[in-house]
Amino acid sequence: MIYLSSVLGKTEDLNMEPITDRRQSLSMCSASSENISKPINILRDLRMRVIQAILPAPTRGIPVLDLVQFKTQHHDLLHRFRRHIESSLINITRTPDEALRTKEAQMYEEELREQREEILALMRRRRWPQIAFGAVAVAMPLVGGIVTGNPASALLGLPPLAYAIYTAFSGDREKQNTILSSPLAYAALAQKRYLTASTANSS
Amino acid sequence: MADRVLYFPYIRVPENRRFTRVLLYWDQVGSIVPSEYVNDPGGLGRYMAALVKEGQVKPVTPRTYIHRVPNFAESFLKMIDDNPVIKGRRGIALQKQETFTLHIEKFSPLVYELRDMGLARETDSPGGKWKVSRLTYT
Repeated sequence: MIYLSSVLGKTEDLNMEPITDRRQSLSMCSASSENISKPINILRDLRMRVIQAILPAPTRGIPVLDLVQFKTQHHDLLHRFRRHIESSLINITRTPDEALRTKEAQMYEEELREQREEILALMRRRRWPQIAFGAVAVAMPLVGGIVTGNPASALLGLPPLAYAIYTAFSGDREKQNTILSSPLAYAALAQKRYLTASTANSS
Repeated sequence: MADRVLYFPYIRVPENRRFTRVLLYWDQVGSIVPSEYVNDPGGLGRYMAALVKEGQVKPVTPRTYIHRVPNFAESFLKMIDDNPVIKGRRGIALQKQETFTLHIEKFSPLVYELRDMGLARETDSPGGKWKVSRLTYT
């Protein structure tokens, strides 16, 4: 089945990477030690570990419409998050020694968790709006203006809610930028949206 | 870098926490489904049908893409033929039930070649289900 998935996934129209949740689905030949040690398979394993460690998954699940809304609103943050993870994991994959690679991956996971928690702490400290699920996305166009040092231009035509969010952060641009420009912003927003702090560690 | 992944081996994607995280990470997840489900997504179950409806899961029907792969069958059959372990299980795998049940569309037209090699057989159940040697499920 991995043959079919790999071949179909490589077709131009699809461009999808194969993924499975069942090791048994890998036959004896594809699960040989030679294949397991291929960089692409190491990357897949590491990626799955990181995804499971960093992204939240409430036991009650996420309603499909809610998931779509979240991903749509934070589309740019998701892409930045994924690029960051993929690039770092590719670097780790280059470490030939397995024990060292495992250690590196563990350290990277810890680092990601810490960064996510730092952003969450900043959000709490800056009273990131509870309605941030929608509001943050509305506020996102502000970032360009803030980064370029011309926030006034970015404020033109904003709805009152977005303006309120902007002003809530005004005078603290550095922290605001830290939150919104961090590659971990997507993971932190997901954590905030889908898991409470008390359940975060049990995920 | 791909923004999407293609889930296997089942038609329905799992409804669990692990897969929720996968959905959160990737733009879209493909799933290999027989074409009959494209017009009847309800047959995929409520969860998957909702994911398909909202574009989070893309049903991928093999027959739409396989013909675009020039040596799809030849490469697979050569890989099977070159593997001494699989060679040694011809006929035996079916007898000993070392098999996986799958829909014919997922492996068509290869199932007939595998049948001739003693690595697959059609089941009695309706709907194009075949038993295929687990070892060939690569």
